Amino acid sequence: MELLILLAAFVVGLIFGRKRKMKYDFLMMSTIVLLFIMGYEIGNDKTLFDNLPSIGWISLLLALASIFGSVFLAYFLKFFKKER
Amino acid sequence: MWLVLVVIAGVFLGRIFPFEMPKDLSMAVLTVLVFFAGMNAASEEEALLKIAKNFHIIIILAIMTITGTFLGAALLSFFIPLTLKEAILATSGLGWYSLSGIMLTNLYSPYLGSIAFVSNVLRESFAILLVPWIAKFSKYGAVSAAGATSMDTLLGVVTKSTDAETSLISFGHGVLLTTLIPFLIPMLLYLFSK
Repeated sequence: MELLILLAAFVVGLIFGRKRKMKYDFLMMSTIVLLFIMGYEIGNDKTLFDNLPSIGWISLLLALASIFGSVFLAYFLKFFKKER
Repeated sequence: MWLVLVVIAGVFLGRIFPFEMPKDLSMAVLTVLVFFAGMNAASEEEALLKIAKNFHIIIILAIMTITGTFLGAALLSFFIPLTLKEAILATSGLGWYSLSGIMLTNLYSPYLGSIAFVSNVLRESFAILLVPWIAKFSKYGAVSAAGATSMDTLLGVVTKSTDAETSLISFGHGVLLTTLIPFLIPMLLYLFSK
C-alpha cells in the first residue's frame, strides 16, 4: 500500500516536472529532513541503544560486507551495458 | 558526507529529548521526497521511456545487489560469531532496517533482529559516505550499494553523484527491492529451515 503511494508520488512528480524546473534543491532538503527523523527515532529507542555495544561491531562488519559485495557484483554490469 | 552528521544529530537529539514522533510523519516526508525525485527525473527527456528502456538493467542490478549482499555476508560469517544463515538473514533487509529488524525479531530471535536493524541502519549511513566515491568508477555500483534505500534516502545522493538516467534506474531498483524484501526474508527462513 505504502509502496503504491510512493509510486504514485513519483509519477505525479514526473508529470508535474515536465513543464517546470525546481528553483531550489528540494530533493536534498527532503533527504535531510528524512534522515534527521530516522536518526531521531533511533535515538528515542532506549532498548536498542543499550544493546549497541554488544551488537555494534558485528553490525558494522555486516554493513560493510553487504556494501562491498553489492558493489563488487554490480561493477561487472558495466560490461553488460556500456556505461556513459 | 555531511549528511551522516544529520543522522547523528538526530540520534543525539532523540536521546536527549524523548518525544514520540507521529507514526506517519516519516512516510509523509518520504512521499514528498519521492515526488521531488520524480520532478527531478522529469528534467531528463522522456523519463518514463528511459525507465522502460532500462528495465532489464534494473532487474539484473537488483539481482546483483541481492546476491552481492549475501556473498559478502556469507564470506564474513566465517570471521564473526554468527552462522552463515544468520549473517545472510541479518543483511537480507538490504538497507530497509525497520522491516528486517521487526521481521527477524518476530520470526527468528530478538538478538538477530537487533543486529539486522543496526547493520541496515549502518548500511544506509555508510552508503551516504561511500556512494559519491563509488560513483566515480561505477554508477551501477553506487545504486547497488544503496540497496533498497536507492529509492528514498539515498536517491538524492545517487542523483547528485551520477546523472538523471542513473537516478531513474536507482528509483526503479529501490522499488523492485522494496517489493521483494517482504517475501525474501520469510523465503530465506523457510529455505534455511529445511
